[in-house]
Amino acid sequence: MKKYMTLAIIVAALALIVAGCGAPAAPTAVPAQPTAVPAQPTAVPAQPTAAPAATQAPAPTEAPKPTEAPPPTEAPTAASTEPTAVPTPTIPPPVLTTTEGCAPNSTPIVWFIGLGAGSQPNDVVKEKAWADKYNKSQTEACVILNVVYNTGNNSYDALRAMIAGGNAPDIVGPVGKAGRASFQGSWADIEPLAKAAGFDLSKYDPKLLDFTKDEGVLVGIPFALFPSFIYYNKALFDEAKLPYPPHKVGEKYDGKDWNIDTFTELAQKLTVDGKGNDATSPDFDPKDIKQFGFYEQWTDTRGIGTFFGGGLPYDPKNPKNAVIPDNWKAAFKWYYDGVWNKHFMPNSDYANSDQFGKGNVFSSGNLAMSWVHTWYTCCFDLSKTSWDIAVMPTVNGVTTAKLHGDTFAILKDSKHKDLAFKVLSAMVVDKDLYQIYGGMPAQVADRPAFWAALDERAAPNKVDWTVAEEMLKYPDLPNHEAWMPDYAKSKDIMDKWRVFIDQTPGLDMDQEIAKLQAELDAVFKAAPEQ
Amino acid sequence: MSTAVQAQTATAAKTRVLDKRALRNLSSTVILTGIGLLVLVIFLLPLVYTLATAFKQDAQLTAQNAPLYPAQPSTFNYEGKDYPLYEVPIDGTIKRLALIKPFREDSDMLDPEHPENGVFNVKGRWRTWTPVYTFSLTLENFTTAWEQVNFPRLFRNSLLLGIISTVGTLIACILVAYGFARFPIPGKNILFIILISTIVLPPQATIIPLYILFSKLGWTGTWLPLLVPAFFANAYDVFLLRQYFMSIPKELDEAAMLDGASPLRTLISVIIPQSIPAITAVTLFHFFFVWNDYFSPLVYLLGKEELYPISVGIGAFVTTFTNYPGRAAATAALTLLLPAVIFFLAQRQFMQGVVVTGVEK
Amino acid sequence: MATTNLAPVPTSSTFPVKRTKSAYSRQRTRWGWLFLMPWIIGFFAFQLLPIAFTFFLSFTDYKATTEFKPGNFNFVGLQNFQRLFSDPLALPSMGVTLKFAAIGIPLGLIIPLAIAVLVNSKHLIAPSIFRTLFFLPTVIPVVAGTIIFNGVLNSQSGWINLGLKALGIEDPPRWFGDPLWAGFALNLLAIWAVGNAMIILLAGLQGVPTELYEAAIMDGANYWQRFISITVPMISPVIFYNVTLGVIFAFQYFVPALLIGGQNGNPQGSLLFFPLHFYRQAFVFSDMGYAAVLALVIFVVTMVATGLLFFFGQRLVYYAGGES
Repeated sequence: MKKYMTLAIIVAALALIVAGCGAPAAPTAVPAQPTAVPAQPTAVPAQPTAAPAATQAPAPTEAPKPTEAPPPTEAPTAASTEPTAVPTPTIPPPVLTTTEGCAPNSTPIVWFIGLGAGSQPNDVVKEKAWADKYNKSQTEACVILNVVYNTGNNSYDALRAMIAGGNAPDIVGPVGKAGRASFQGSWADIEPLAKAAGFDLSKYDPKLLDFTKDEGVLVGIPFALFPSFIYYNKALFDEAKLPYPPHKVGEKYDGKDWNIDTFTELAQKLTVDGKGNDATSPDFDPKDIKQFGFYEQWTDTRGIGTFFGGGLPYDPKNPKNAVIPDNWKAAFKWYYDGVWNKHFMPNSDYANSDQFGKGNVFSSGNLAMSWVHTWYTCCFDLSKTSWDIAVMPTVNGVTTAKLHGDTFAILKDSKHKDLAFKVLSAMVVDKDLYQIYGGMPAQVADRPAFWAALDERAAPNKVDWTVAEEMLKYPDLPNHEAWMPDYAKSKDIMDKWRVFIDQTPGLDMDQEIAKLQAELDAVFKAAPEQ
Repeated sequence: MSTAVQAQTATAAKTRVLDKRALRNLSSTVILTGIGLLVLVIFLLPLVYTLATAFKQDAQLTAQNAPLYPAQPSTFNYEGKDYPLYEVPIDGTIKRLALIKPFREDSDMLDPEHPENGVFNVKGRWRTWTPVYTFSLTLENFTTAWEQVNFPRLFRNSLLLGIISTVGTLIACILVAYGFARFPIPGKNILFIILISTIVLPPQATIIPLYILFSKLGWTGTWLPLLVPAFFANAYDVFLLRQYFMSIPKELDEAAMLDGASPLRTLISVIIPQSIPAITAVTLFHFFFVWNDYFSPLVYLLGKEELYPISVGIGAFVTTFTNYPGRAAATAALTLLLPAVIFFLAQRQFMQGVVVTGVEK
Repeated sequence: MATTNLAPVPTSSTFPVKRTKSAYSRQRTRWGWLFLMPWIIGFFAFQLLPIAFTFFLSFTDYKATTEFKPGNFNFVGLQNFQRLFSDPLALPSMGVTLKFAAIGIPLGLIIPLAIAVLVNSKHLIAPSIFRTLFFLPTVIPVVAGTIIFNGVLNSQSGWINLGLKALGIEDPPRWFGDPLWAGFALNLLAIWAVGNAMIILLAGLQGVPTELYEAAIMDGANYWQRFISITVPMISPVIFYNVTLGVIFAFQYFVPALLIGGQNGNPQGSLLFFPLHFYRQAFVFSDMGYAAVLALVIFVVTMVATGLLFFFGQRLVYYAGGES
C-alpha cells in the first residue's frame, strides 16, 4: 500500500543519510571491551619520588549551575619538601588514541576524570597526550582514559554505577575533598601501596600528608599547589585613573594601608552603572550595573568566610558542636553588605547573566578584581584580557590567601592497585600534568619553567608571578576545606548557603548565620562516629 | 496556501454561495496563520537566542550597550590598532569618533575623518555614548565547533543506534500493542498495569541494577545494552499504539478475518495501514528519544569514544557555555540540523490523515 | 481530559461466530499470548530487575561506594522505611513535585493539543514548516535546553525580561533567583519541549474519519461543536495516553532542576523535587538504602495516580474498536 511505501521511504531516507554520513557504517555489535591482559611486569618504570607540598586543585569546570562553584578541594599547607628529580622516560610523539602505543601484554589501568578538573575539551587532549607518552614509556601498564564531563552530576552517577557493577576504574582524579566525600569508603589506603612499591612518603611534610587524608586514611599523594590571590583587570583601573593594587604584602595602596577598608572603597569605585556613576555616587543605579569591582569567584560559604581568616565551623574540642567563628561572621556580613547594599559584588542574577560571563565573571572583562586560585588560568583568555595579579588585602592586620589542592586517588575496588600506584606516583610528579591543572609545582626548582609556560599563554601580558609565590606563605589555617563531620552533608549546606545569600535580598545576617549554625549543628550531631 | 486554494476550488464547484465561503476560508487562513506565527515567535525565542549567540563573537555578549543581534563593532584603524567608533554628542551635534582611551569622565578620542588632527580629549562619559555596530554574522563558532567535534562520526553513530533501535521497537511494540488491544487474554488489565509500572521508577533508580546486569553480561563498552532491550518492547510505545489500535473500528479486522486472514495477516493488512500516523509518531518519538538519550550511552560506552552517539559526544562542548558561549551554541545548533531535516521529511505522514475505507455504514 | 461526550459513531457489533465460541476464543487467547511474548521476555530479562533491586536495597544499608556483593552491605530490616516518617524534607519536596504536576499536567495537555489542532488545520499556510519548528525544541538535548533557558530567563540579560522591561514592566520576575517563580519557570521549560505530545495528538487527529465531520457539517454543527462532540471523543484514547504519561513524567521530573538549582534545589529549596531528594540520598550522600525507599515512594505514588486514572479516566475514553 501507499502508506507502507511512505514508511519505507522514511526508513530508506534515514539509511541514506547514515550512509552519506561518511565512513563505512560501524558494525552494529561492537567488540566487547578489552579484556584485561595479565600484567607482565617487565621493564620497571621510573620511580619518582617527589613532590611535596600542596594539595589539591580544583577545578572549576564550568558548571552550568548558578553561582556556585566548583570545586576546589582541599588545601595544603605551605611549603615543600625536597623533591627528588624524576627521571622522565623517553617519549615518542603522542598519538591520539590511548590504546595505541601500549605494550602488547600491558595491564589496562583505567583513569577516570570528571570529579574535578580535567574534563574540559582542551584538557582532555593534553591528558590523552600524557597517557600516550606514559604508555610508550613502559610496558607494564596501559593507561586508558574515561572522561566524563560533569553536567548535572553525571560523572558522579557514572562512577557509582561502575563501582557497584564491579567495573571500578583504577585511578580517579584530579579529585578534591568534596568529590572524595561523595564516595567515602571507596578509596584505597595509599600507605601500604607506597610501602609495597618502596615509595618513600616520609619525604613529604607530615602536615602536607594530613591534607590528603580523609577520615585519617591517606588517599593520595600531594600533587601541586594552588594559592589564591587577586586577579585584576588593568584596563578597568586605567579607565578609572586608579593605581594598580599592591604586589607585595605590606605595600601601601595610594598612600593607604592595603586593608579591607581601602579595598572596599576601591571596589566601590570600580563598580559602575550604565550612566557612568560609580557605587560611591548617590546617583548610582543598582539595577543597571555594567561593571563590578570585586567577586569571590567559585567558592562556597567557607571560602567567603576565609576572606577574613581561616576557621573551622565547629568547636575544635568537640566537633559535634557547630560554632561559626567570629571572623567568618564578620566576613559574611561584609560580603552580604557588599552584594546587596554597597553593590560592588554581583548578586546571582548579575553573576549568571550573559554580560558577566554566566558565572565566569572575571572572563567577561566587566569585573575589576576577582579572588581565585592559580587554577583559574584555565578559564579566561590569558592573552586578550589585560590583567595581572595582586596580593590579598589585610583584615585586622592579617593577610590570608586560601589554598587549594587536588590529588589523584586509587579506588579500593581496583583490581590492580599496585600497578595503579605506580602510575599514580608518576602522575604526581609530572611536569606536563602540573601545566594541565594550573597547579604550582611544589618544588621550587620546577616553578620557573611552570611560570614561563603560563607567560607564553599570557603574552603580551607580563604577569608578576612573585605575587603567587608570596601568597603561598599566607595560607588559610585551618584550611577552608578541612575535615567536617559528615563532610558530604555539611559541604552541601555550605554550598547552599552561599547561593542563598547571593540570591536573596533583605536578609538579617545575624539571624541567617544563627540558622546556618543550627543547621550545621544538626548534621554534626547526627554524623556517624568515626 | 495551496490547501486554501484547493479548498476554494472544491467549494466553488459544489456550492452556490461560493464567494462568501471562499472569503471566509481566506480570512480564516490569514487569521490562523497569523496566530500560528505569533505563537511560533514566542515559542522559538530561546532558539533564536541560541542562534544569535552562535553567530556572535563572544566579546559581543559581554560588551556594554551591544545590540542583541549578531553584529561587529565598527572600528577605525589608527597606528596599527583598531578602535571602536561611538556616536558622541559635541556642541549639539552627533559626531562619529573613535574611542582611543576611555576614562570615567572624559576620553581620548580621534576623528576618523581627520586623523591628522591627532588624539584629543572629550569631556563626558563614554558609557552614555552609543557604540556603532553593523550587522554581521560570525561563522567562526561553527567552524571551530565542526573542527573540534567529529560530527560525521557522531551523526553516523546516532543514526545507526536510532534506526536499529527504532526498527526493533516498532516490530516489538506493534506486536505487543496488538496483543493488548485485540485479544482476550486473562488478566490483561493487570498485565497492562505491570507494563506501565516498568516506566514508573525514575531512570536514576534503575542505573545501578542495569549497569550491574550489563556488566555481568560483558556488554559494557558495546552498543548491546542500548539496542537489545529495544527489541523487547517498551511501555511508552506499546501504550500509545494500543490506544490507537483500540480506536480502530473492529469491523475492519473482523471483515478481514471473515476472508480467512490470520491475526498476523490482519495486523499487517488492516491495522498497520490504518495506523500510519500513530506508527509515524512512535517512530519519531522513539528515534528522537534515542537521539537525545544521554546517560545510558555515557555509562555503557565510557572510554569508547569511537562508539559515542552525538548526545554524549557534544556533552563537553555544550556545557563549556561560560567560557565559550558562541561555540557551545553553535555546537547545539549543528546538532539540531539533522533531526530537523528528518522530522521535516517524516511529518508529511500527517498530511493526509486516515481515510476509513471498507466500513459498511 | 477526555469529555464524557461520546461520539455518534457506529459502535462495533459483535462478530457472528461460526465455530464454537470456546475453541475460537481459546485460539484467540493463544494468539494474544504470542503477540505479548516480546514484552514478557523483555520484562523478565530487563525490566523486572530494577524494580526488584530497588525493593531489595530498601532493606539494606548498601552505599554503592564498593562493589555490590555480599559483605558490602547489611540488612537493616525496616529501618529505612521508618526514616521516611522523620524525614523533614520528604513532605516539602513532595509539595514541590505536586505543584509542578498541578500546573504541568493540564498545560502539558492543553498547549500541545492547541498546537496540534493549529498545525493540523487546512487553513494554515505551510503546515510542514510550522510542525517542524514547533517540534524542534524537543530535539534539543536536555542539558543544552536547560542552559539555553537559564540564559533566556536570566533576570538581568535574559531576553524574556528584556522584553518585559520593554513592555514597561519595571520589576519582571527574577525567575530562577526567586523561589516563587523558579518552579513555574521549569514548567515553561517543560512546555517548550511540546513536540512529542504534539505529534501524538496530531496522529490522533489524523485518525478521525473525515466522514464524521462531513456528516456533522450536514447537520449544521459549527466548528466548536464538532470539536467537542467529534474530535475530543475520537482522540480521547490519545488524550488519555498523554495525561497518563504526563503524570509519570511529572513524578519523575528533576534533571533540569538539578542543572539549574544545583544539588540543593536552589533558590531556597523551591526546586527540590521529590526525585531530586531521592537522587541526593543515592548519589550525593551514598545512602542507597534510604534512597531506595524514596524511589519506592515515587513508584507507589505514581502507580496509585496512574491506577486512579485508569479506573476513572478509562470510562471517559471512547474506543471505536471496543474494549475487546
